[in-house]
Amino acid sequence: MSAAPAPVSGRQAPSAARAAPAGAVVSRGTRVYLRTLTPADLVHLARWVEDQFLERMVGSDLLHAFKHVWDKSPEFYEALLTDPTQVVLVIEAYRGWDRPVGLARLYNIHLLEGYAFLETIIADPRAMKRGFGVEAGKLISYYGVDVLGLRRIEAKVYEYNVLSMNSLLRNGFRKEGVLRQAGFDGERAWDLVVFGILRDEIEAQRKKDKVYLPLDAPPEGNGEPA
Amino acid sequence: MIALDAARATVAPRDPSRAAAGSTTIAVAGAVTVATAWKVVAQVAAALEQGHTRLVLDLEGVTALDAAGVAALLEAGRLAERRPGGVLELRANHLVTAALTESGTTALIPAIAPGT
Repeated sequence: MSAAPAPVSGRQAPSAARAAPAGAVVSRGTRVYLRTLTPADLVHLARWVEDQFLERMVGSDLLHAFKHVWDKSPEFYEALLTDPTQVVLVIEAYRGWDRPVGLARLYNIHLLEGYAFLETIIADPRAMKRGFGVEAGKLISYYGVDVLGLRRIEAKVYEYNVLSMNSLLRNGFRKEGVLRQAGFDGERAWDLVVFGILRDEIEAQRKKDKVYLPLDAPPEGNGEPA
Repeated sequence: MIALDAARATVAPRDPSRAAAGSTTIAVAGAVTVATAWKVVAQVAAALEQGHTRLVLDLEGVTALDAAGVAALLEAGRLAERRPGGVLELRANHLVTAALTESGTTALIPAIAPGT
Protein backbone atom coordinates (compact mmCIF):
# COMPACT_ATOMS: atom_id res chain seq x y z
CA MET A 1 0.00 0.00 0.00
CA SER A 2 1.23 3.47 -0.73
CA ALA A 3 1.66 5.77 2.21
CA ALA A 4 -1.09 8.26 2.77
CA PRO A 5 -0.25 11.93 3.17
CA ALA A 6 0.41 12.76 6.77
CA PRO A 7 -2.98 13.78 8.09
CA VAL A 8 -3.56 16.44 10.65
CA SER A 9 -6.66 14.78 11.88
CA GLY A 10 -8.33 11.43 11.38
CA ARG A 11 -9.26 12.33 7.82
CA GLN A 12 -7.30 12.04 4.65
CA ALA A 13 -7.90 12.82 1.03
CA PRO A 14 -10.60 10.52 -0.34
CA SER A 15 -8.34 9.38 -3.16
CA ALA A 16 -5.53 8.29 -0.88
CA ALA A 17 -5.06 4.58 -0.39
CA ARG A 18 -5.29 3.22 3.10
CA ALA A 19 -3.38 0.30 4.49
CA ALA A 20 -5.61 -2.53 5.62
CA PRO A 21 -5.82 -2.52 9.40
CA ALA A 22 -5.13 -5.67 11.32
CA GLY A 23 -8.00 -7.28 13.16
CA ALA A 24 -11.03 -9.11 11.93
CA VAL A 25 -14.04 -7.25 10.65
CA VAL A 26 -16.97 -8.28 12.79
CA SER A 27 -19.81 -6.22 11.43
CA ARG A 28 -20.42 -3.74 8.65
CA GLY A 29 -22.75 -0.84 8.26
CA THR A 30 -23.16 1.75 5.58
CA ARG A 31 -20.91 4.34 7.21
CA VAL A 32 -18.73 2.39 9.60
CA TYR A 33 -17.62 -1.11 10.35
CA LEU A 34 -16.54 -2.76 13.56
CA ARG A 35 -13.36 -4.77 13.86
CA THR A 36 -11.52 -6.51 16.63
CA LEU A 37 -9.05 -4.62 18.77
CA THR A 38 -5.35 -5.23 18.10
CA PRO A 39 -2.27 -4.42 20.17
CA ALA A 40 -1.51 -1.58 17.75
CA ASP A 41 -4.78 0.10 18.73
CA LEU A 42 -3.41 0.83 22.18
CA VAL A 43 -1.65 3.82 20.61
CA HIS A 44 -5.05 5.30 19.86
CA LEU A 45 -6.36 4.48 23.31
CA ALA A 46 -3.33 6.18 24.83
CA ARG A 47 -4.25 9.33 22.96
CA TRP A 48 -7.94 9.14 23.75
CA VAL A 49 -7.45 8.74 27.49
CA GLU A 50 -5.82 12.16 27.58
CA ASP A 51 -8.85 13.83 26.01
CA GLN A 52 -10.58 15.74 28.78
CA PHE A 53 -13.69 16.36 26.68
CA LEU A 54 -14.05 12.64 26.05
CA GLU A 55 -13.56 11.88 29.71
CA ARG A 56 -16.29 14.33 30.66
CA MET A 57 -18.75 13.21 28.01
CA VAL A 58 -18.29 9.45 28.25
CA GLY A 59 -16.50 8.73 31.51
CA SER A 60 -15.46 5.36 30.16
CA ASP A 61 -14.42 2.75 32.71
CA LEU A 62 -12.42 1.06 29.98
CA LEU A 63 -10.33 4.12 29.19
CA HIS A 64 -10.04 4.94 32.87
CA ALA A 65 -8.71 1.47 33.63
CA PHE A 66 -6.26 1.62 30.71
CA LYS A 67 -4.78 4.83 32.04
CA HIS A 68 -5.01 4.51 35.79
CA VAL A 69 -5.02 0.76 36.49
CA TRP A 70 -2.86 -0.53 33.66
CA ASP A 71 -0.72 2.57 33.21
CA LYS A 72 -1.20 2.20 29.45
CA SER A 73 0.60 -1.14 29.55
CA PRO A 74 0.50 -3.46 26.51
CA GLU A 75 -0.73 -6.13 28.90
CA PHE A 76 -4.07 -4.35 28.86
CA TYR A 77 -4.73 -5.94 25.50
CA GLU A 78 -4.14 -9.43 26.88
CA ALA A 79 -6.42 -8.67 29.78
CA LEU A 80 -9.22 -7.77 27.39
CA LEU A 81 -8.73 -11.01 25.49
CA THR A 82 -9.37 -13.03 28.62
CA ASP A 83 -12.25 -10.95 29.95
CA PRO A 84 -15.48 -12.94 29.61
CA THR A 85 -17.62 -9.97 30.61
CA GLN A 86 -16.97 -7.60 27.75
CA VAL A 87 -16.47 -7.24 24.03
CA VAL A 88 -14.49 -4.28 22.73
CA LEU A 89 -14.62 -3.42 19.05
CA VAL A 90 -12.93 -0.67 17.09
CA ILE A 91 -15.04 1.68 14.98
CA GLU A 92 -13.62 2.36 11.55
CA ALA A 93 -15.19 4.72 9.05
CA TYR A 94 -15.18 3.62 5.43
CA ARG A 95 -13.85 6.45 3.35
CA GLY A 96 -11.50 9.29 4.05
CA TRP A 97 -10.34 8.16 7.46
CA ASP A 98 -6.90 6.83 8.14
CA ARG A 99 -7.34 5.85 11.75
CA PRO A 100 -10.06 4.46 14.00
CA VAL A 101 -12.74 6.91 15.03
CA GLY A 102 -13.67 5.24 18.30
CA LEU A 103 -14.76 2.17 20.22
CA ALA A 104 -17.99 0.26 20.67
CA ARG A 105 -18.18 -1.91 23.73
CA LEU A 106 -20.56 -4.29 25.42
CA TYR A 107 -19.60 -4.69 29.04
CA ASN A 108 -20.90 -6.25 32.23
CA ILE A 109 -22.15 -8.96 29.92
CA HIS A 110 -24.36 -11.42 31.75
CA LEU A 111 -24.70 -14.31 29.33
CA LEU A 112 -26.77 -16.35 31.74
CA GLU A 113 -29.34 -13.60 32.30
CA GLY A 114 -29.01 -12.20 28.80
CA TYR A 115 -28.19 -8.57 29.40
CA ALA A 116 -25.27 -6.23 28.98
CA PHE A 117 -24.37 -2.55 28.94
CA LEU A 118 -23.47 -0.52 25.87
CA GLU A 119 -20.79 2.11 25.50
CA THR A 120 -20.07 3.88 22.22
CA ILE A 121 -17.13 6.24 22.06
CA ILE A 122 -16.54 8.52 19.09
CA ALA A 123 -13.09 9.78 19.99
CA ASP A 124 -12.23 11.88 16.96
CA PRO A 125 -14.08 15.19 17.20
CA ARG A 126 -14.25 15.41 13.42
CA ALA A 127 -16.10 12.11 13.37
CA MET A 128 -18.92 13.40 15.53
CA LYS A 129 -22.36 14.30 14.21
CA ARG A 130 -21.87 12.09 11.16
CA GLY A 131 -24.01 9.20 12.32
CA PHE A 132 -20.98 7.04 13.09
CA GLY A 133 -21.88 6.56 16.74
CA VAL A 134 -25.49 5.76 15.90
CA GLU A 135 -24.49 3.09 13.42
CA ALA A 136 -21.73 1.64 15.60
CA GLY A 137 -24.17 1.34 18.49
CA LYS A 138 -26.64 -0.34 16.21
CA LEU A 139 -24.10 -2.83 14.85
CA ILE A 140 -22.80 -3.89 18.22
CA SER A 141 -26.36 -4.23 19.48
CA TYR A 142 -27.05 -6.63 16.62
CA TYR A 143 -23.88 -8.47 17.55
CA GLY A 144 -25.05 -8.71 21.13
CA VAL A 145 -28.37 -10.22 20.11
CA ASP A 146 -27.11 -12.47 17.31
CA VAL A 147 -23.88 -13.78 18.77
CA LEU A 148 -24.07 -13.30 22.50
CA GLY A 149 -27.76 -14.09 22.76
CA LEU A 150 -28.60 -10.93 24.67
CA ARG A 151 -32.23 -10.03 25.27
CA ARG A 152 -31.62 -6.61 26.80
CA ILE A 153 -29.02 -3.88 26.38
CA GLU A 154 -28.71 -0.95 28.70
CA ALA A 155 -26.83 2.34 28.49
CA LYS A 156 -26.17 5.13 30.94
CA VAL A 157 -25.53 8.68 29.82
CA TYR A 158 -24.60 11.86 31.66
CA GLU A 159 -27.51 14.28 31.65
CA TYR A 160 -25.49 16.84 29.67
CA ASN A 161 -24.51 14.43 26.88
CA VAL A 162 -27.39 15.21 24.57
CA LEU A 163 -25.58 13.78 21.53
CA SER A 164 -25.37 10.33 23.08
CA MET A 165 -28.96 10.44 24.29
CA ASN A 166 -30.17 11.31 20.80
CA SER A 167 -28.06 8.50 19.33
CA LEU A 168 -29.63 5.97 21.64
CA LEU A 169 -33.13 7.23 20.91
CA ARG A 170 -32.46 7.02 17.19
CA ASN A 171 -31.50 3.37 17.70
CA GLY A 172 -34.76 2.60 19.42
CA PHE A 173 -33.56 2.74 23.01
CA ARG A 174 -36.11 3.95 25.51
CA LYS A 175 -35.43 6.29 28.36
CA GLU A 176 -36.15 4.19 31.42
CA GLY A 177 -35.20 6.42 34.27
CA VAL A 178 -32.72 8.66 36.00
CA LEU A 179 -30.05 7.79 38.52
CA ARG A 180 -30.09 11.02 40.46
CA GLN A 181 -26.68 12.58 41.11
CA ALA A 182 -24.99 9.30 40.30
CA GLY A 183 -22.17 10.82 38.27
CA PHE A 184 -19.38 13.01 39.59
CA ASP A 185 -16.98 14.93 37.38
CA GLY A 186 -14.60 16.05 40.11
CA GLU A 187 -16.50 19.24 40.79
CA ARG A 188 -20.17 18.42 41.04
CA ALA A 189 -22.64 15.58 40.80
CA TRP A 190 -24.76 14.98 37.70
CA ASP A 191 -27.72 12.78 36.96
CA LEU A 192 -27.23 9.66 34.87
CA VAL A 193 -29.99 8.88 32.41
CA VAL A 194 -30.71 5.19 31.90
CA PHE A 195 -31.71 3.84 28.49
CA GLY A 196 -32.66 0.31 27.56
CA ILE A 197 -33.71 -1.76 24.61
CA LEU A 198 -35.08 -5.29 24.37
CA ARG A 199 -34.37 -7.92 21.75
CA ASP A 200 -37.68 -7.57 19.91
CA GLU A 201 -37.20 -3.81 19.81
CA ILE A 202 -33.75 -4.31 18.31
CA GLU A 203 -35.26 -6.63 15.72
CA ALA A 204 -37.85 -3.99 14.89
CA GLN A 205 -35.04 -1.48 14.37
CA ARG A 206 -33.15 -3.90 12.17
CA LYS A 207 -36.07 -4.23 9.80
CA LYS A 208 -35.97 -0.49 9.23
CA ASP A 209 -32.42 -0.21 7.97
CA LYS A 210 -29.93 -1.69 5.57
CA VAL A 211 -27.08 -2.75 7.80
CA TYR A 212 -26.34 -6.38 8.16
CA LEU A 213 -24.12 -8.74 10.08
CA PRO A 214 -21.95 -11.01 7.93
CA LEU A 215 -21.30 -13.67 10.51
CA ASP A 216 -21.07 -16.53 8.07
CA ALA A 217 -17.99 -15.33 6.30
CA PRO A 218 -15.95 -12.70 8.11
CA PRO A 219 -14.22 -10.77 5.35
CA GLU A 220 -10.55 -10.01 5.12
CA GLY A 221 -8.96 -6.68 4.30
CA ASN A 222 -9.83 -3.24 5.42
CA GLY A 223 -13.56 -3.62 5.31
CA GLU A 224 -14.10 -1.57 2.20
CA PRO A 225 -17.12 -2.81 0.35
CA ALA A 226 -16.27 -4.33 -3.01
CA MET B 1 -9.75 -36.04 16.80
CA ILE B 2 -10.54 -32.83 15.01
CA ALA B 3 -8.11 -30.09 15.97
CA LEU B 4 -9.13 -26.49 15.69
CA ASP B 5 -6.59 -23.79 16.21
CA ALA B 6 -8.70 -20.74 16.74
CA ALA B 7 -6.20 -18.75 14.74
CA ARG B 8 -5.56 -21.36 12.05
CA ALA B 9 -8.27 -23.93 11.62
CA THR B 10 -6.64 -27.26 10.88
CA VAL B 11 -7.63 -30.88 10.98
CA ALA B 12 -5.34 -33.25 12.87
CA PRO B 13 -5.18 -37.04 12.92
CA ARG B 14 -7.69 -38.81 15.09
CA ASP B 15 -6.47 -39.40 18.62
CA PRO B 16 -8.81 -41.96 20.15
CA SER B 17 -6.72 -42.32 23.29
CA ARG B 18 -7.97 -38.99 24.61
CA ALA B 19 -11.62 -39.40 23.78
CA ALA B 20 -14.31 -41.28 25.58
CA ALA B 21 -15.52 -44.39 23.80
CA GLY B 22 -17.74 -43.55 20.87
CA SER B 23 -17.15 -39.85 21.08
CA THR B 24 -15.43 -37.45 18.75
CA THR B 25 -12.96 -34.98 20.16
CA ILE B 26 -12.63 -31.49 18.76
CA ALA B 27 -9.44 -29.97 20.09
CA VAL B 28 -9.39 -26.20 20.21
CA ALA B 29 -6.18 -24.23 20.66
CA GLY B 30 -5.28 -20.56 20.79
CA ALA B 31 -7.48 -17.58 21.50
CA VAL B 32 -11.23 -18.12 21.32
CA THR B 33 -12.42 -14.55 21.05
CA VAL B 34 -14.58 -12.24 18.96
CA ALA B 35 -12.33 -12.86 15.98
CA THR B 36 -12.32 -16.65 16.14
CA ALA B 37 -15.18 -17.94 18.27
CA TRP B 38 -17.42 -18.54 15.25
CA LYS B 39 -14.98 -21.24 14.10
CA VAL B 40 -15.74 -23.32 17.19
CA VAL B 41 -19.47 -23.17 16.53
CA ALA B 42 -18.92 -23.98 12.87
CA GLN B 43 -16.70 -26.96 13.71
CA VAL B 44 -19.21 -28.37 16.19
CA ALA B 45 -22.05 -27.83 13.73
CA ALA B 46 -20.07 -29.63 11.02
CA ALA B 47 -19.29 -32.57 13.30
CA LEU B 48 -22.94 -32.89 14.23
CA GLU B 49 -23.91 -32.67 10.60
CA GLN B 50 -21.55 -35.54 9.89
CA GLY B 51 -23.38 -37.66 12.41
CA HIS B 52 -21.06 -37.29 15.39
CA THR B 53 -23.49 -36.81 18.25
CA ARG B 54 -21.19 -37.42 21.21
CA LEU B 55 -18.64 -34.65 21.13
CA VAL B 56 -15.81 -33.71 23.44
CA LEU B 57 -14.58 -30.14 23.09
CA ASP B 58 -11.00 -30.26 24.26
CA LEU B 59 -10.14 -26.74 25.37
CA GLU B 60 -6.87 -27.47 27.10
CA GLY B 61 -4.95 -25.55 24.46
CA VAL B 62 -7.07 -22.42 24.74
CA THR B 63 -5.05 -19.34 25.64
CA ALA B 64 -7.79 -16.71 25.79
CA LEU B 65 -11.55 -16.77 26.13
CA ASP B 66 -13.64 -13.63 26.04
CA ALA B 67 -17.41 -13.15 26.14
CA ALA B 68 -17.77 -14.15 22.51
CA GLY B 69 -15.81 -17.31 23.24
CA VAL B 70 -18.01 -18.22 26.16
CA ALA B 71 -21.10 -17.52 24.07
CA ALA B 72 -19.70 -19.81 21.36
CA LEU B 73 -19.33 -22.65 23.86
CA LEU B 74 -22.92 -22.13 24.97
CA GLU B 75 -24.13 -22.14 21.39
CA ALA B 76 -22.13 -25.28 20.66
CA GLY B 77 -23.80 -26.97 23.61
CA ARG B 78 -27.24 -25.91 22.39
CA LEU B 79 -26.50 -27.28 18.92
CA ALA B 80 -25.55 -30.64 20.40
CA GLU B 81 -28.61 -30.76 22.62
CA ARG B 82 -30.89 -30.26 19.63
CA ARG B 83 -29.63 -33.52 18.11
CA PRO B 84 -31.20 -36.76 19.30
CA GLY B 85 -28.66 -38.25 21.68
CA GLY B 86 -26.45 -35.23 21.26
CA VAL B 87 -23.93 -34.58 24.00
CA LEU B 88 -21.17 -32.01 24.21
CA GLU B 89 -18.62 -32.35 26.96
CA LEU B 90 -16.06 -29.68 27.63
CA ARG B 91 -12.54 -30.49 28.70
CA ALA B 92 -11.43 -27.21 30.17
CA ASN B 93 -8.11 -25.85 31.38
CA HIS B 94 -7.84 -23.43 34.26
CA LEU B 95 -8.23 -20.37 32.06
CA VAL B 96 -11.42 -21.67 30.54
CA THR B 97 -12.78 -22.75 33.91
CA ALA B 98 -12.05 -19.31 35.31
CA ALA B 99 -13.77 -17.60 32.40
CA LEU B 100 -16.86 -19.78 32.72
CA THR B 101 -17.00 -19.15 36.44
CA GLU B 102 -16.51 -15.41 36.07
CA SER B 103 -19.18 -15.20 33.41
CA GLY B 104 -21.59 -17.19 35.59
CA THR B 105 -22.26 -19.70 32.84
CA THR B 106 -21.14 -22.95 34.43
CA ALA B 107 -24.77 -23.88 34.95
CA LEU B 108 -25.40 -23.62 31.20
CA ILE B 109 -22.45 -25.67 30.05
CA PRO B 110 -23.42 -29.33 29.52
CA ALA B 111 -20.41 -30.86 31.24
CA ILE B 112 -17.06 -29.67 32.42
CA ALA B 113 -14.10 -31.82 33.17
CA PRO B 114 -11.26 -29.48 34.10
CA GLY B 115 -7.90 -30.91 33.22
CA THR B 116 -9.13 -34.45 32.69
